[in-house]
Amino acid sequence: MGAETVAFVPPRYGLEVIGGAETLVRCLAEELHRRGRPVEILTTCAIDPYTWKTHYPPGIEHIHGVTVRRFHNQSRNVDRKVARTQQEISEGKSISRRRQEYWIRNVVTSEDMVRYLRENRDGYRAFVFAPYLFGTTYQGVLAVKDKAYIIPCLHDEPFAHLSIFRKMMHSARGIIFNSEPEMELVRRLYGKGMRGRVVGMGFEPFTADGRRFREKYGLEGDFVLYAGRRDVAKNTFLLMRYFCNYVHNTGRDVKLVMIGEPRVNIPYSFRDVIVDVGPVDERDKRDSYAAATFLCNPSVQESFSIVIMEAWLVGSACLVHGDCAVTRHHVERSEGGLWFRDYPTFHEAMDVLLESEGLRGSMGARGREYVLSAFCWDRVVESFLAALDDGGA
Amino acid sequence: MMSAEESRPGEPRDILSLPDDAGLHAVMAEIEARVARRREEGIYRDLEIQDLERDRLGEAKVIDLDPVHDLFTDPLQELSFMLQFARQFSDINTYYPIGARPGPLKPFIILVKRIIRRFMTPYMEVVFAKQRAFNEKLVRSLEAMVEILRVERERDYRGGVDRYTAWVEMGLRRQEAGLLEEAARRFEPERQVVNLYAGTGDFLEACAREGRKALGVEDDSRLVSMCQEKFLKVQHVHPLDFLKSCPVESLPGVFMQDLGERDDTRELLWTVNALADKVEKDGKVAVLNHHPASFRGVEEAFRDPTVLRLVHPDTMRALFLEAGFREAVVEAVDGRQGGEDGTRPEDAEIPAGEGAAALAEALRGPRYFLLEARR
Repeated sequence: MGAETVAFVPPRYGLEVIGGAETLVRCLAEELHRRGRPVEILTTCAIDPYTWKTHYPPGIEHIHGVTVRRFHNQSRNVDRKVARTQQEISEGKSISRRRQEYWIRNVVTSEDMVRYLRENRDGYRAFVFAPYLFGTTYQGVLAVKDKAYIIPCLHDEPFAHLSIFRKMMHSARGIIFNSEPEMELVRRLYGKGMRGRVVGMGFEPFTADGRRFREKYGLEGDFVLYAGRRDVAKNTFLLMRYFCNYVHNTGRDVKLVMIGEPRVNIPYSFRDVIVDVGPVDERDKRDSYAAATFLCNPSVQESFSIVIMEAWLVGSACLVHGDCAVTRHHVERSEGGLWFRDYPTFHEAMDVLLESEGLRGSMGARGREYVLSAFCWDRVVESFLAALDDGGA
Repeated sequence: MMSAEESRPGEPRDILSLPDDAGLHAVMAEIEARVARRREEGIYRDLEIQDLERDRLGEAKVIDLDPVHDLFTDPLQELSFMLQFARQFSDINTYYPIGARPGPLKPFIILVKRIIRRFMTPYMEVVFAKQRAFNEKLVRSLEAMVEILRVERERDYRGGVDRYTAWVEMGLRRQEAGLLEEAARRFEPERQVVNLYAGTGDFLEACAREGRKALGVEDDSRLVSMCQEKFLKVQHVHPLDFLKSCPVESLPGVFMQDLGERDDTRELLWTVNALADKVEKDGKVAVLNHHPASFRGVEEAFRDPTVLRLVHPDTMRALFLEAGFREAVVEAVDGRQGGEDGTRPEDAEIPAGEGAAALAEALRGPRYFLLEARR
């Protein structure tokens, strides 16, 4: 630890942790470390985002050379009041500031970590909190306001409209955005005066062996890939419904291959059409992009979308939801894929992408060019350090 | 006009044809125009999955699921979440926050409620004590069940038993210090040896005994913890990622055990080629594997459920030479000391007869081979 050290503060951290914001923080911290910048991770002992039970021992460990300080987190208090408040927030109801505070205290907090932040604030250059929706970020930002930066990973959801987050965003020294649409959303929700810079995440080209993935999982012919958490919020159900209808309507021989967690119940008559591979390691994930005919990300709640960047890196085209400002922005800028708004546009976009191999290839190539030019690590690290230097101004 | 029923496999389909270099907006405009044109034709049938299932299977065979909830909820996560609630509510007591709506009677109502609670408490506590005891037992059983399900699922995801489970939990690891010490002695004392897939750290311990500097690389966090408890130097990272991140010609010595015997065979090729790049000029790689020609070697290897295959020493040698190593020498090793009475089962006399010599050789053959390759 030194006065130049940048501390990243995610609610959970580790090689086994799956999640967009967590991956972004880990990659950014490791890249800064590789470039000789002093970085540290301040996090909790939890791994499971549902129970927040202690998984790792508290103390110091090193992951890929980066020092990780783990603090005990408070166990989640899921009482009636918390559950009811969460339900009311989800329904978009107005909640008093006091109830909001009570609720956020029960979305993973660590008193040990907040104490450490207060006592050691002079030992660090900056504290970078991510993502916005956790007690560690809320309480941490308020503890070290003048050195706090937030990578909010924000999308338009009822939780983002709470007044406690407006207060938190205004308390931080700077906001680090993942994309322009996210910056616009933050300014729309919390005021035009929000300071910030778009940084995003860096990528390096990698090699992938699609044939290996196909052989390993016994896949033949065309398949559409869905990679990531399966959740109503991620529109996984919508994709499954559209895909089943597409196969039923066209009789086409195409599969939907899903990687990630949690498991989904596949409709009985589509058990040969939807393949749930489950969680895979990094190598399988990369190979899956190369093996897929194209990738589909139907989510409308994205602040960056790592999966479409990775798919583009191996030259795969992407199909995204037109109502997601962020993924559509990437597709429009790169011309690396198509978007759909409803079932008819999904049906036609599927036809175009499955039928035209040449068009698919050129879209994948344009996507790759976009990622390599807009999200190379040199550029990302430079923007990140500039964001810290000017407080995001 | 084309309907959903008409567009079946093998029949001509009306597909939008576009040039390979078509721009995004041109393609999207074509899609929108096509949708506007064909929407009326009834091609875009968008049914709920339940209705689709009925269409395909008939009413009787459809399991009535909640279309969103049941398709998406992972039962294990749901159970874990409900368990959180159960923990909160299992500790029942008579305490309940007392309040009343604002008004002139508020203090009086609160007072009455407090009095009632005060008088009821001893009676309620008698009832609640039994319920509390029962709830506590039930929550404990549920916690145990969730943990069992989680472990079982993790095993299933890994496609079988992992090394930690096999070696530590099932106690199937047999490690002979003599062999590892012999392998450690093959490295020069002043140069660091990197042990990829360090496992339980047996080779690192052997290095310490032989005065060699060694660094373990392991991706299983439970095995890493075991090494750390023994104060061994170990990095928590996947060995292939570690190799990838090493600068070219930067590793003085590398030791691996059971190379190619687990996981995908392609990893063997990838690892050997990566080693050829990352090991420094004149650096050494040592590999200790089960000998497939040895009866006892094969038996011992497959006692470990994580071993999938054996690699022949000639194949291994050829792979290293092909990858660019200057020399690769294979030596059969055993390191077995014998039983309590000094005898070994394979020393038992083999009756003379046809094939007896070959049987004796297979039984008495060394169980391992040690390959030493130099850049």
